[in-house]
Amino acid sequence: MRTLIRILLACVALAATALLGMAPAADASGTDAFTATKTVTRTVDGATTSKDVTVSVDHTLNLRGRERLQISWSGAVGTSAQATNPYGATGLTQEYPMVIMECRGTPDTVKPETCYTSSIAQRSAGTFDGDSAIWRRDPAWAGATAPTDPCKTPNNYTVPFIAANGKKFDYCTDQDVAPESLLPAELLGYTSKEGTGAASFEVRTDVENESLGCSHTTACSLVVVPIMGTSCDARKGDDLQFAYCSANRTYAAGTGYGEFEGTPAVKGNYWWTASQWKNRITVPLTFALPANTCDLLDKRPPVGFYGSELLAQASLQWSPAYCLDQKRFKYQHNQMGDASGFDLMLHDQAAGALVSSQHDAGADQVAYAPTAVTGFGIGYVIDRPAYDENGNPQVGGEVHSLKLDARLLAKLLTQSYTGNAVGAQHPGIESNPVSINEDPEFQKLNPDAPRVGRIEGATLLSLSEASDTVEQLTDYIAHDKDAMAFINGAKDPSGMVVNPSYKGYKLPTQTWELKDSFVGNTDCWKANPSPFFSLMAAPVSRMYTITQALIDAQPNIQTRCEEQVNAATKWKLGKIDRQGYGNRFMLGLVSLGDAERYGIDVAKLETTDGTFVAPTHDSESAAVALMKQKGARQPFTLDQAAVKKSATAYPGTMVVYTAAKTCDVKADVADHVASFVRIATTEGQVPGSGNGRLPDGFLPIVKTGATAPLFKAAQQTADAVAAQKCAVPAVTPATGGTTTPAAMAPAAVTPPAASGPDKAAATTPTATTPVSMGTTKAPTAAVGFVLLPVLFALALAGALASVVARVLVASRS
Amino acid sequence: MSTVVSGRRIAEPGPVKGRRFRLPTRAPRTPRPARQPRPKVPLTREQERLVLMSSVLTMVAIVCLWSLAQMLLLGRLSEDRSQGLLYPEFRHELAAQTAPTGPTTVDADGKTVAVAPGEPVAVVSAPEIGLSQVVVEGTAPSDLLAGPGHRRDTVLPGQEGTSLVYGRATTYGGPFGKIEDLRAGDHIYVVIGQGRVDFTVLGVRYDGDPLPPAPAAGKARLVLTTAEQLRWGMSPGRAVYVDAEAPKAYPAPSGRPAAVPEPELAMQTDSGAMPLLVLCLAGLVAVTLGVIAARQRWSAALVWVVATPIVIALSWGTTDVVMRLLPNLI
Repeated sequence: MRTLIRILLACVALAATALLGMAPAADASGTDAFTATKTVTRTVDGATTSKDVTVSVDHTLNLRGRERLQISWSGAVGTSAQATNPYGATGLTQEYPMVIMECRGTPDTVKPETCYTSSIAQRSAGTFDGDSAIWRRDPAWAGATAPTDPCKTPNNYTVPFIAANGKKFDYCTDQDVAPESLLPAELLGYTSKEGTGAASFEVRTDVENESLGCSHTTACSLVVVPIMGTSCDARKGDDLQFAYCSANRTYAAGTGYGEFEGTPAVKGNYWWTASQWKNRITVPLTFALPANTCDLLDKRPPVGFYGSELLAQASLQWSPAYCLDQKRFKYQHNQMGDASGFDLMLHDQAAGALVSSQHDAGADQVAYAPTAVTGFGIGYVIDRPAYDENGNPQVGGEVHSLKLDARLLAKLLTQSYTGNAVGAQHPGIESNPVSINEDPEFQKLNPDAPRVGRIEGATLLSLSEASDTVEQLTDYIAHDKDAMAFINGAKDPSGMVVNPSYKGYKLPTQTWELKDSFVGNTDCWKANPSPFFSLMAAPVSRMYTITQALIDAQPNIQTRCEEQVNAATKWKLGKIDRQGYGNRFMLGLVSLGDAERYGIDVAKLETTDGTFVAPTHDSESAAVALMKQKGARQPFTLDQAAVKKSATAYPGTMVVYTAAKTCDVKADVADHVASFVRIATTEGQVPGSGNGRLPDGFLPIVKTGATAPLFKAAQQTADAVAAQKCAVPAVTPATGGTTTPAAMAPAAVTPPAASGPDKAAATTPTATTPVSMGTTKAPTAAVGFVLLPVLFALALAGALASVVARVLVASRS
Repeated sequence: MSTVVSGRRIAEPGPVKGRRFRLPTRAPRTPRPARQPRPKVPLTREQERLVLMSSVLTMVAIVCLWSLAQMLLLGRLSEDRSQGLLYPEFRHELAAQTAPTGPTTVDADGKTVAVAPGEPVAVVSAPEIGLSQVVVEGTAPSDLLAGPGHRRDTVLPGQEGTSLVYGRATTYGGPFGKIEDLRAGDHIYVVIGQGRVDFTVLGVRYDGDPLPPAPAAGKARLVLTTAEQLRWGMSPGRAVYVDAEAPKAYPAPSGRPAAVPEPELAMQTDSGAMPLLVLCLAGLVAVTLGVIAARQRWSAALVWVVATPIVIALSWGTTDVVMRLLPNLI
């Protein structure tokens, strides 16, 4: 009997787990991913070698411009003569690479002519003599089936490119190529000796690459060609020719990072020969509606929500779900600083504000609805150095794990690294490290990262505008003893000191000010007297700019000071160069939504001593569980002191709220806001890449678990906004000094239906323009305030004391 | 005030502390009757001081409690009674068409006289908050003991122009205690000698809120004024206003004073009550002395019966006077 019960219980538990597993989180990436295995072959003189190559792509649906796919493969031939930069033409020298391109067409219609490459070399092969023209020996592409070279050059073949509009580019000269001049996205990835490899691939839409022309209407595919070597037939041509086309690798698998030039037959150049092209694995891609879909398809006036950029990626997916549904309204997210958006909402210029913390509403009644859980991250792009400390080449690639603590962030933000020789002249920090790379604290946490000081490692690209993100980041620093000790002037264990301009800087802050006014002491800086450290920090106004800088590895550091020949101004300041592949190092403040969309690595942040937490659904849930709501319909606050004690919560977790007034808002606007909150917290929380779904980088808000209070609060706020029931505030500000009359007016004077500007007119229909009558100056009487409580207290105190005195008398007699 | 009767103190609260508190100092000196069988242990100096202190504190407590009781409980009774008298009076005036329609009225002799403070001038009601009160003329603290008051330098409610009506928020029935709950769109009905007017509330206006525009010609504006309230009867001691407007208005006769004395302004006190207060306190002292004297001659029960109503009446009157020294809207 007992056994039976146990079995029953086990069944129930299983069923429960299964049900939980069916919660939205489970189908997040399921259908989106792609995996295929193909047997790839090379036939040399009748002898066939084959490999079973499996290619996986993490997501393939509803892609957007510059989104990065994570591609991994196994079973391939190991790459040798590995290039430092596998992207574009520079990767061609490798033996047995994995050629990855974006091509227009479905798996059935894709052909080499629709695959975009950024250079001629990637689609053409020229030889000095006919002997080495190995494509001619390809049995699958010989004789009548071999096309003639469009360039009509002897011993040459070039694959033309057919643009989306049908125009054919022959790629014979520099004049005859597709007009896009982009950083190469296509790459020749490395395969390890074990046959595995991984790469991230940036997809381009017709916005970035019009000639390729991928969009939601034009199908495109990712083509992966595992290079096995061109097949060749001994019976065609002479021995020399056969030797060329049947050659194998020159170098051992896994070697590279030098001046190598691989064997032509197994290089990436010949991906287009028939025998290699048939080895391709084609991954169908679909593209999302473009960002301007709603503007094009929906002529209704938009309902504007203003504020946090953290929600940008979600809004991108959400907005078509509103504007394409005539029963709904046209949702528009205008990104700006949280405080600016909140002000617009207060002044009825915006239906709702998207903010991440409580803002001063003055006399207005504002409710906050949790709309999305996401956060910020310290994004990075770091290449492992190509040479070790002794100067020997080593296996490169990107660093995919970075640990940072609050003090390192404080050092970066306070501009305490000197950057270069000019910065090292700054009084007080002469002996500080040049950059984070030289900082022993950083080296200890990240042994993989390059250790040579460089100006790109001296700064964290951050925001110049007031932002709740900056506030939370600085709040995280403010709750770290070591970091605050450093800012307040204490030396760190290696003797580094804070930049005196930031000594004692008050944290947290909404805006990180640029306080340092040091001007370099060289000829160039004397000619251009600008604050060196401010130009090194060079914060930007939008997080997406930081994201792009990280994608392109283009730091925003403006301290390049160059001598110009034959120019009126001899010395000129400018931005430093884009970083070369293999030598990249850059840190920036990004939103988690952007980081996931564009495949940017995000650093783990220290919470308890020695514990580093990465942003994951688990760590964000743990942070949400620590949040406390300030009151009904008010925001939740994340106490960083609690995060510091938790080993699991991610400190950058932030909730984006829809803030809206619950009083004196036009009924239709109020309805829009309420329905936005309701939709966003229900169908908008289903993970996925489709319209109206929640993108990666966001933790779904659901009815159960850690996010349950958020869900409940959102529904309460939606109800309150829809109801528009004005409650009398318990206490009003004393003199109205800080609150503008416009902000005060709606709560008190107008009937709910009247809208902003005509509220004065509503009371006097004859008046054409509202006349300001000044503000109410209510007389006060302090007696009125204290009278009753004081009387009561006196009565109580008198009675008590009198009894005590009596008791004392009795006890002493 | 306090009397000492065979060692027992009968305390009667009065409003001013200093005077009364000294009286119990005589307590130990009073000869104790034989009813105390315990052998008298002479009190030490310290014990005497303690007894004295205890008595003083008891007085303080009783005075405070009485004041509280009067303001919150007895005052309510008093206001209720005033309203109970004012309502039929005003009803009669309305029926007889003698209700004042302006700052002046015609008396029984046919002479034109100013409407005396305390006369009923209007009935104001707001069903949403259960308000129904007879408004008296005048807004001095003493006038507002009987109910809401009409400020004399403004038109009567319902007449063309802006009319101010003050009312207490907490004490003496707190007739205007709930007007902060009025919402834009709620109705306030006013009956004056000329007829009935239906006001629509524009909103509650706190300190710092923008003033509404002046009423257009031909419209009546009613501004109810009271003290802002926090919870549990606490108040920041600040005035709060409820604006209401009626599209139709009766004409307002002339003759209004250009200004009213300071005690009739919002949140003001009436220092003119001081002499009266002195009289009241003197009366209390006299009663105390009388009771002491009577106790020598008559039995305690008799003195009790005679003195208690007198003391209570005097205390009541004294507290009413004290109310005039406090802000008029609380």
